[in-house]
Amino acid sequence: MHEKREDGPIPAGQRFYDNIFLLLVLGVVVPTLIYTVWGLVEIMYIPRLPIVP
Amino acid sequence: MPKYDHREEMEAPGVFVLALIFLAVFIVIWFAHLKWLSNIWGIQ
Amino acid sequence: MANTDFRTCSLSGLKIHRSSELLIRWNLIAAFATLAVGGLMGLLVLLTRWPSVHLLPVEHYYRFLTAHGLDALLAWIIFFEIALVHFTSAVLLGTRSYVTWLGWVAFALMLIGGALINTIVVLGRADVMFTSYVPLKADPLYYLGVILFAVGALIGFIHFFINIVLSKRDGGFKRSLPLGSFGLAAASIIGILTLAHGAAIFLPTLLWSMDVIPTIDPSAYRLVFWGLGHSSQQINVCAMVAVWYMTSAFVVGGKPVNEKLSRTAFVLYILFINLASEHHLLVDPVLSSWHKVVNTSYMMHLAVLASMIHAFAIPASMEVALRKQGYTRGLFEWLKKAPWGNPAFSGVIISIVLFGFLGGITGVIFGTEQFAIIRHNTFAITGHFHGTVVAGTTIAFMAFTYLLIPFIFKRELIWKGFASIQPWLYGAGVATLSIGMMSAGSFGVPRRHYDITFSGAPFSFTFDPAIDMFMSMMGVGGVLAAAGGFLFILIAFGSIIFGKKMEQR
Repeated sequence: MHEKREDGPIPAGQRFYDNIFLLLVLGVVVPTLIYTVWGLVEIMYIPRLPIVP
Repeated sequence: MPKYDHREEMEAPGVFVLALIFLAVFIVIWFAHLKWLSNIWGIQ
Repeated sequence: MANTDFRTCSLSGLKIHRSSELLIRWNLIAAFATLAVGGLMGLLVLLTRWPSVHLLPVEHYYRFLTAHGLDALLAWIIFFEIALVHFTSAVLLGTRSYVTWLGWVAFALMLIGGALINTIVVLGRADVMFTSYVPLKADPLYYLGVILFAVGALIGFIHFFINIVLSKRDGGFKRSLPLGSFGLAAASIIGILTLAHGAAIFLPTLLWSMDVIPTIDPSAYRLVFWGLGHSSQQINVCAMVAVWYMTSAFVVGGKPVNEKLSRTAFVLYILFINLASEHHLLVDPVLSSWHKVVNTSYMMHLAVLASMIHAFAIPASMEVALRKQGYTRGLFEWLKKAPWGNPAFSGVIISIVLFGFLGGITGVIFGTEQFAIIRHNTFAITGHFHGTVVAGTTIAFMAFTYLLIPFIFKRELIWKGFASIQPWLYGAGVATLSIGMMSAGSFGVPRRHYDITFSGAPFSFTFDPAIDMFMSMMGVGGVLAAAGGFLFILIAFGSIIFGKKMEQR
């Protein structure tokens, strides 16, 4: 049987998961950096074709 | 005194066995579909 | 004095705030209406892709395909998810809907945006597909419609967080959210990321369509668009999985076998599943291999681990609950005696099996560069996402509807016999459709293509004759699915309007 323990310290993992706003920040920042920002930087560094008159 | 048995009884043995069955079926279908694809795509 | 703002559902025991109930009802009604339109468009498009029928003329094919994508993929699902947002942030917690007017603002924006999109598309001023890739240019009102819809949805997801914070203050929950609410929290977090990307790409594109900005780089568009486009599918995954857990709880009394594991899986979704947007870009030459490999292989497999956790946790929760009810004989008595006649239960099981085997697996496979090169732009891709969004998310949402109609609309289901078979009919149809599409795609049959016989073209090309069987499979499956979908719409609206009213305290 799983008994609810009302006493005792809350495990750090549970405190982390309970912090919805921290999860929100991470959930927006991590993918934006690794996917969007990194990708846009790569695209910006592609050299432009010179316009030949 | 007999040693306390710390192992818990598996709570969901049915799902465990189902998972094994699905895994076996999946592996069969997977390799069959790979064989089929390699025929279509001409992979030797 | 009795507080008449709340009522208690005699079936579920849930304490339901009347304002919340109204918001849920109207978002559901909008969801069913857009599903009906999107489904009809899908049927017309299906009968055009089925070479033996080839129903629509060419312009209408691309037009209705655009409408089908927007209504079935975006509107139906997001309206339903906003309903779930209100359900899990108020009803499930037993607290009120806070800042209710915000919920109605969101609903109005989504409704107006959706109506505008559909009108502009049907008028033929936005034959750009759901992806609207630049340099394809639609009428500015199209982009405006999408922005309005997206802003409405964003407000809806923000409303979730407002409700949660104030619910905790008022004692709705002490430390941790119940798992169903946690799943919708994950969905809302991904929703905010998704819609931020949507704003980032559709605002400049709107300006470009009005000739205010001269040009938009197509590769940058694709990168940011898929930050909206695929991430929106991950909202669906989180919401679908939350529905699976909640249905297990409501129908058989299932509790998560390991809260820590289930929540870890949702957190993995939050952090990593958005990166599967990359798989739309695997064939683009502009991005480096590093960007592609990190964002697909490494990150995506963490998210797939999460799906594996849920895939076992939910059936296990059902087994544990049914064993507690006394079905302990042998390995599978619980399975045989499970409430298969209850369409909420059967729908969720069908959703889990089909999402896992058809949709999820093919998504991981096609998301690797080597397979992506072969599968890109073929019908196999279409087969994949009908396995996820239709066989997975839509069936799960249909299943949950069978609970929401008695809980929220206080009506009994009509045609209970038909309701029992509806998930099976729809599931069989979509599975057949999906397998047919994927098989045809293996032979190179393209997606978004009007006429694969290339009639009237200066060159000729014939596919392997095997595709005829698979295209027919798609056709038959699609018609079955349309029948199942139509049945669902009839049962849903019929129950809401004509279902026997249930007495509630």
